[in-house]
Amino acid sequence: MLRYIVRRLIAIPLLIFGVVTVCFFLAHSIKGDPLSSLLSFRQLGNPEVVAATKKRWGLDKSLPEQWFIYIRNLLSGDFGTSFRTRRPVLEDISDRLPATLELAIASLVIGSLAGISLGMLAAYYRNRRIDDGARLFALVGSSMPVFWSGLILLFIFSVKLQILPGPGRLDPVTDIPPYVTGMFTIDALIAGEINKFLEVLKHMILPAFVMAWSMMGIISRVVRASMLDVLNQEYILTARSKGARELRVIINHALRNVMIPTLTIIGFSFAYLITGAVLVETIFSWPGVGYYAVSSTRALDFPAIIGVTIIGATAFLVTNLVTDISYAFANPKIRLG
Amino acid sequence: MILTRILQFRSFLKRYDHLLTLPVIIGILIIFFWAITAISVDYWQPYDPLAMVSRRLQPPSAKHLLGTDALGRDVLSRTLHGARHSMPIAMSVVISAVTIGSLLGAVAGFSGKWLDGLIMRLVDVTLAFPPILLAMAVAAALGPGLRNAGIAMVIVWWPIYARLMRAQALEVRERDHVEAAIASGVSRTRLLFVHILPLCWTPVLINATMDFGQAVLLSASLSFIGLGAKPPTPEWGSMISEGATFFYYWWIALGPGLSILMVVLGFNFIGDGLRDFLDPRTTD
Amino acid sequence: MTKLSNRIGLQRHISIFVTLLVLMLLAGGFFSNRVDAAGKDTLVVARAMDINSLDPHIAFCDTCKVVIGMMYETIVKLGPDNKTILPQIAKSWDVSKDGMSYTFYLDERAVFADGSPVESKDVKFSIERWQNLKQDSNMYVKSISKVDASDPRKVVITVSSWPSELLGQLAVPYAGIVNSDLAMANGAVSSADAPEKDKAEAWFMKNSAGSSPFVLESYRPDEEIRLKQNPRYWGKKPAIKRVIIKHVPQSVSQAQMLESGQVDVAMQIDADTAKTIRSRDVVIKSQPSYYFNYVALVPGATNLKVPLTPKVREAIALAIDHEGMLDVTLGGAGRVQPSVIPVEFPGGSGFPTPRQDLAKARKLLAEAGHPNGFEILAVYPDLTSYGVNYSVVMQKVQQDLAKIGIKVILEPVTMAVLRARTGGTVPMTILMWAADYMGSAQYVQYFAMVPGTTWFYLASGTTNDMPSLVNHREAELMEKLQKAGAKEAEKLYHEFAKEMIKDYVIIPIGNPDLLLTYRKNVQGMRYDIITEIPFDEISKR
Repeated sequence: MLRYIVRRLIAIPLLIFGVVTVCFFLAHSIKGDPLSSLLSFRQLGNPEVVAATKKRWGLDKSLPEQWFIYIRNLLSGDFGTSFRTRRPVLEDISDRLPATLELAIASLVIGSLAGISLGMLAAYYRNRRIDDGARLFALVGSSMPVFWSGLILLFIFSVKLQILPGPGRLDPVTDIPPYVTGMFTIDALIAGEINKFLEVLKHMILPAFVMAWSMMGIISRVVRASMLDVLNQEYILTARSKGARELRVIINHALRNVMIPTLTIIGFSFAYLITGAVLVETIFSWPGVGYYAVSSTRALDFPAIIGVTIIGATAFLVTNLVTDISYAFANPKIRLG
Repeated sequence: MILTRILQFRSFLKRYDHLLTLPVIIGILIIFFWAITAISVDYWQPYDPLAMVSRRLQPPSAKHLLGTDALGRDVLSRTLHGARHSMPIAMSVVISAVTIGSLLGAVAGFSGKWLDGLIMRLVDVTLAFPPILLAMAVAAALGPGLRNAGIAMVIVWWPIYARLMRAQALEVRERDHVEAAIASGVSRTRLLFVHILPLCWTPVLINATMDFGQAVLLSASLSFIGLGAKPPTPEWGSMISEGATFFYYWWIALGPGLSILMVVLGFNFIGDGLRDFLDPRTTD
Repeated sequence: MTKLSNRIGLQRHISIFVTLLVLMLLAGGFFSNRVDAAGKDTLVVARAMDINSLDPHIAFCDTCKVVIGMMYETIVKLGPDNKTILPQIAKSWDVSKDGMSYTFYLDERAVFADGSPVESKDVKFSIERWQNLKQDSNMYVKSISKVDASDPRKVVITVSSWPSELLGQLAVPYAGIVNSDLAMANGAVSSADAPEKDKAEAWFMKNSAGSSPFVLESYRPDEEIRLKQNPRYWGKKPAIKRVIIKHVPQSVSQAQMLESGQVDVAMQIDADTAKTIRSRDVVIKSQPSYYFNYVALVPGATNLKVPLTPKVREAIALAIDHEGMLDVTLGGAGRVQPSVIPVEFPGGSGFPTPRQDLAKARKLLAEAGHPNGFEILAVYPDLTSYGVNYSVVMQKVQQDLAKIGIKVILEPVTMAVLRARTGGTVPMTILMWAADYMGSAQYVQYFAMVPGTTWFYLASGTTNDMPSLVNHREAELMEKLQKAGAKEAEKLYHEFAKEMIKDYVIIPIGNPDLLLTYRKNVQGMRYDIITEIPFDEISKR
C-alpha cells in the first residue's frame, strides 16, 4: 500500500511535466504566432512594432529556448505574464481559484446532500413512484447541458420572477469583503457582515444548483444501490423487527455503510466539477478559473492556458490519487497496481 | 416446427425481459426517433433550416411551433436538423474512441513489457488533463469545426477505453482456455482477436452506451464555447449559444436544449438498462 | 401500522426542515432582487470590458479609451461638440506659420494626484515613452519628431508630416500625461530601449499616475474596475465620487441589471434587447454613432478559388442588401454608410446611399468570367460588437451573395485567431471601426489602397506587394494632403472617400445607432467619441 502511494506521488510531477510540455507545444502549434494576441491589426504589419513587441515578451528566441526558459521560470514559481490581462498568471489564478473553489464546494455540498437524499429515498421506496421520480430527477440533471439549464434557470428566476440576482459573485455596488481566504462567504463571515454573506449566498444559488444537479445522478445511483444492499442485511432486518424507529435505523446503520462508496463516487465526480466550472462560470459570468480558461483560450493567451492546465491537472491528479486510495481502503479486495 | 420457433422466440423474449424495462424502451424509442429524423428530415421538414422564412425573433405560433431566430429562420426545422450533426458526431467519436482505446488497451494488457509501459504512460498523461481543458486546447489548436471538435473528443476519450480493456485483458489472459491456446501455439494476433477480445466486451459496451450521451453533451459544450460547429450549421450547442445572446427571446434555445436532454436521457436509459442486465452486481 | 407512522415521521422531519429554511430566508428579505444601486455619489456602470492594458501608452481597446480617458488627462481635449479642441493641461498654444511646430503653455494649476505639478518634463517623458514603447497606438505619435521641454511651463512639439491633425491626436486618451517621477520610480523608461527596459506595465495595472478627476481604486480582470475621485484634482471636481464599471458580457444581462436598478448605466444594450425593456425608470436615447462595421475583401489571400478582381469585388458589393442588413443586425436602428469616412467627418458627406443591384452584380460577374458564381471563404470574429452579432451579419451576407451564385463558407474564429491567420488565408472578413478622434486622416491611414496603410498590408495578403491593388489616385491625394490646409484637406478627403468606395475592398455595412441607456436619475449623459460617456459631467439625483 505505502509503496503504491509513494509510486503514485512520484508519478505526479512527471505527469505534470508531460502535461506542461504537451501544452506548450500544442499552444505553439497554432497557426500564426503569439503576436496575434498581443497586437492589433493595425500594427501586425508594422515591422518596427512587431520587433519591439517580440523583444518585450521574449518571443524573439527559438521555440526550444522559450520552452527551456518557461520550465526554468516555472520551477522558481513564475508562470509568466498573461497576454490578455497583463498580470502574472499565478496572481490571476490565485485571484480566481477561491471563486471556483467556493462554487465547487457549494455545488459539491448541494449535490451530495441532494444525491444522498434522493438515493436513500429511492432505495427506501424502492420500485415505487417516489423511487422512479427521484431517479428521473437525478438522471435529468446529468443529461442536461449545464449551459442550457443555467440559461433557463437564469431566465426564470432572475429575469421573469426577479427573486434571484443575475450573473456575478456580488451585487455591482457591493465592496468585496476584506481578503482572508478569497472565498467571499467565509470572508464575509469573518468580517462579521451577515448581509454580505447572504448576498453572496444568493448569487451562488443558481450556479451551484446547476452544477449540483449535474452530479446528483451519479451520486444518487451509487447511494441507492449500496443502500439497497444494506437494507437487506440481517442486522437491519433485526433492528427493524426490534421496533427501532425507521429513521434511526437508516441513520445509525444504513448511512454509515453507505458513506464509503459515496465518498469515493464524490471524488470521481471531480471531473464533472471542472467541466461544470468551465461552462457554468461562462453562463453566470462567474470570475473563476473556468471562465478564465475559456477567455484565455479564446484570446490564445498561452501563458494563461498553460498555467490553468497545470493547476487543473495537479488538482485532478491529486483528487484521483486520494479517490483511488480511499477506494482501496474501502474495498480491500481491489488490487492496486 | 412453427411451434418450436414460437417457443424459441418466447424464450428469447424471456431472456431479454429484464433488459426491456420501461426506461429502456423509452430510451430506444427516443434514439430511434432522432435517428429516423436525422435520416429523413429533408423530406418532411416544415421549412428550410437555413432560409429566412419569416420575420425575425417571432415567438412560437401555429406557423412556427418553436418561433423564429435572429435571422428569421424556423427554430423547429433547425432543431430537427440538429440531429444530423449531433448524432453522427457522437457516434463516430465513441466508435473511434472505443476502437482505438480497446485495441491499444488489449495490446498493452496482452503483450506487457515495454509496449504496455509506453501505451499506459501515454494514457496517464492524457488522463492527467481535465477532459474539458484538453478538448478546448486541442480544438483551439486545430481551429473550429465539428470534425476538429470530434478529433479533440477522441483524444480525450480513448484512454478511458484503453484502461478498461487493459484491465479486462489482464484478467482474461489468466483464464484456462487462453493458457491452453497459448500452449497450443496459436498465433499472437489470432489469440488477441479470437480468444481475448471477445471476452472483454461487456464493460466496454456498457461504458460506450453511456458515453454516447456524454459525447453529445461534450460536442454541444464545445460548440457552445465557439470551438465546434460553424454557422449556419444548425448544431444544438451553437443554437443554444445563439439563444444565449438573445436570451429574452427564450424560444431560440428551448428546442435544441430539450433535444440534447432527450437524446442524452435516451442513451442513459439504455445504458442503465444494459448495465443492470449485463452486470448484475450493481443491481438490487 | 408502526411502519406507516414511522414513514410519516420521516416525511414530517423533512418538511419541517424545509419550511424552517424557507421561512428563515424569507425573513431575511433574501428573495428580493430589487436593489437601489448606490447612493448619489457612486455611479455603477455595466459594460462588456475588453481591457488589454491599463498602461496608457500600451493599452489599445474600446474600454481602454473609456477608463484611461478617466484616469489620465491629455494636453488638449475634445469639446462636447466632438469637434472643437479645447485646452486641458495646456491652457493655450501657438502654431508656427509653416504648421510644423506647436508651442503649448501648460496650466500652472495642473497637479498630479500626488500633488506634484504637471511640468513639461512629464509631457516630454509621456510622449517619448508612448513613441518608443512602439505599441498598438503608435500611429498617433508617428508624426512627432521632437519634444522640447527646456522651459518647465512650456512644451514645443515639432512634427514631420500630417500636421493638420496633431491636436486631435494629442487628445486621444493614449496620449495621457503620466507623472514621470512616479512612473520612473516604478520601472517606466522613455528612451529608445523602452521595449526591453520598461517594466512598469504591471505597476500601471494597479495604480494610476495621472492628473485627472479620477484615480484607479482597484481592477479585477473579468470582474470590475473601480475608480474614485482624485481629492487633489486641480479643476472642477465631478459630482460623482466613485465609478464602478462592472464586466457584464451580455447585453441581456446588462438590461436586466439596469431594469432592476443594480446599475445606473448600461453601455452596450443592443436594439433587440432595448425593445424588451419595460421599466419606466430607464431612459433609452438613441443617436448616431461614429463607429461602423465593414465587410473586407482580401484580393491577396492565398486560398482564393477565383481572383478577386475589381469587377468581382464590385459585384459582391452590389449584391449586399444594406437596408435588409440594418433590419437583421440592428433591428433597423442604424444608418447605411456609403463611404469609410463617416458623414460627420471632413469629406465624408454627399455620397449616394448604396443599394442592392442584383442585375448589375450578375452582369459584372459574367463579365469577369464567373456567370455561375464561385465559392469563397469568410473567416470572421465570433463576437458581438455594439449590439451587432457578426455571425448574424455574415449569415445575412451569405444569403445575399447566394442570390448571385456566390457561395460563402463561414468560419467564425476568435479575434486572436483571426489576427493569427491574417497571413493570407482570410479571403473575406468583417470588422468594426471606431474613431479615436475627430479627423479623417485616421481613415486614410487605415483604409487607403496605398502601400504603408493597414488595409493595404492586409488586403495584399500581408505581403505589401501587390501592384494591381494600388490605387494611384489615392497615392497622389496622399501627397497633396501633406501640404494641404484645413479647407483644402476636406475637399481632398472627399475625393479620397470616393476613391475608397471604388476600391471595393472595404464595404461599410451599417453605422449602428448608439443607445444611451440609463436610470432616470442620472443627469448629464451624452455621447463622447473618445470616452463614450463624460463621467466627470454626470451627476445623480
